[in-house]
Amino acid sequence: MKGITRFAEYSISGGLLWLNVVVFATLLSIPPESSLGLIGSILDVWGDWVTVLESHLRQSSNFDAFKNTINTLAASLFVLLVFCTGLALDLLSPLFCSQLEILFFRNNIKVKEEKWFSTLVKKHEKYLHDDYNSFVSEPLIKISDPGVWRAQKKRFNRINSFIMAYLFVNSDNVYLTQLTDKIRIWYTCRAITTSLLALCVLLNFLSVSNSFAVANATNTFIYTLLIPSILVIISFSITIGTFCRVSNSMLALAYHIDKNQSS
Amino acid sequence: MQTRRYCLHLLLILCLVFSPTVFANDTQKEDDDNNAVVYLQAGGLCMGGAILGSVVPVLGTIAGCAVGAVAGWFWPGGSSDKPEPREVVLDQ
Repeated sequence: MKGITRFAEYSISGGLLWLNVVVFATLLSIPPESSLGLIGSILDVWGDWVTVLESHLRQSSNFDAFKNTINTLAASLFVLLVFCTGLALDLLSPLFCSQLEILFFRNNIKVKEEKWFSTLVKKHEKYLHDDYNSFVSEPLIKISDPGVWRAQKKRFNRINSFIMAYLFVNSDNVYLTQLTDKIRIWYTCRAITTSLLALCVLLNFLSVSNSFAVANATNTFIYTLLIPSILVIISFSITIGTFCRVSNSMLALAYHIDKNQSS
Repeated sequence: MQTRRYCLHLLLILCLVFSPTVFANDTQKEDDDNNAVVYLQAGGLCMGGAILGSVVPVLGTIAGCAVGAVAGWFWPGGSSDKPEPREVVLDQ
């Protein structure tokens, strides 16, 4: 069951990326002066390579016999491609999303001055050592020293994994199922964010390399700056929104468990 | 304090990204559409580079932004070699 859920999640993020790429590649390739209409223009864009592929395949004498096999093979390869894209997006997502997450988590702890959390951390110093204090007190980024950021990222990962392990070990099954669902949604949203950012970069390069898109300044502005900017804003909002929900529910659950254990 | 500094860096990067657009509008008024496209290309690729470079905060973003802007500036584009739209007759 878990395997099917994971397959669905990867398919959503991978499929979203490929769908967006196909839509925007079609939009960018339609000539501005086209008189064929929308359907005609789309057929004009994608019809060429289908015709070329079919003519190559028809050279084989057994093309009709293998037609169904080729169709099935192409469909399964496409499903595999979508799944692998989703998996790659899921693996790449911490690279692009962790900055905002770390910033949010650190500010959340610092502004609210969570004393119970520092007490909880002190109780488990054997695992965390001085990670929490260094994470809160030291700056996140130093322009002169890029190593500071890497060290802070490691500390955040250790603190995050500690909280997760603490919750998984101590919480009831009912809360655990809800928390697991929230974490899965968080991971999927991260992958979707990465797919939007990847689309943004692809759109920049596609529109610059496409001669129809750079035919005039308005088209170039829309495809290279306006749509990518909107995509970046949407992806940042998704990242902060989902992490805010997960982080708050994790901290709330940890607080209640700690309170129950203390009393 | 750290957040404010981070926001300031972000603002500077956004200024870098969108400043070519302002110049582009000026040049467009002077009927120099090709220059506008070049500026916009540089701005677009600057943004793409900044996104890719954001893996390493601030330094990576600035470096990616600069590389993207330079690539966009020298990218062969504009109105010099626009292909003619094709005419395809569909079989009824």
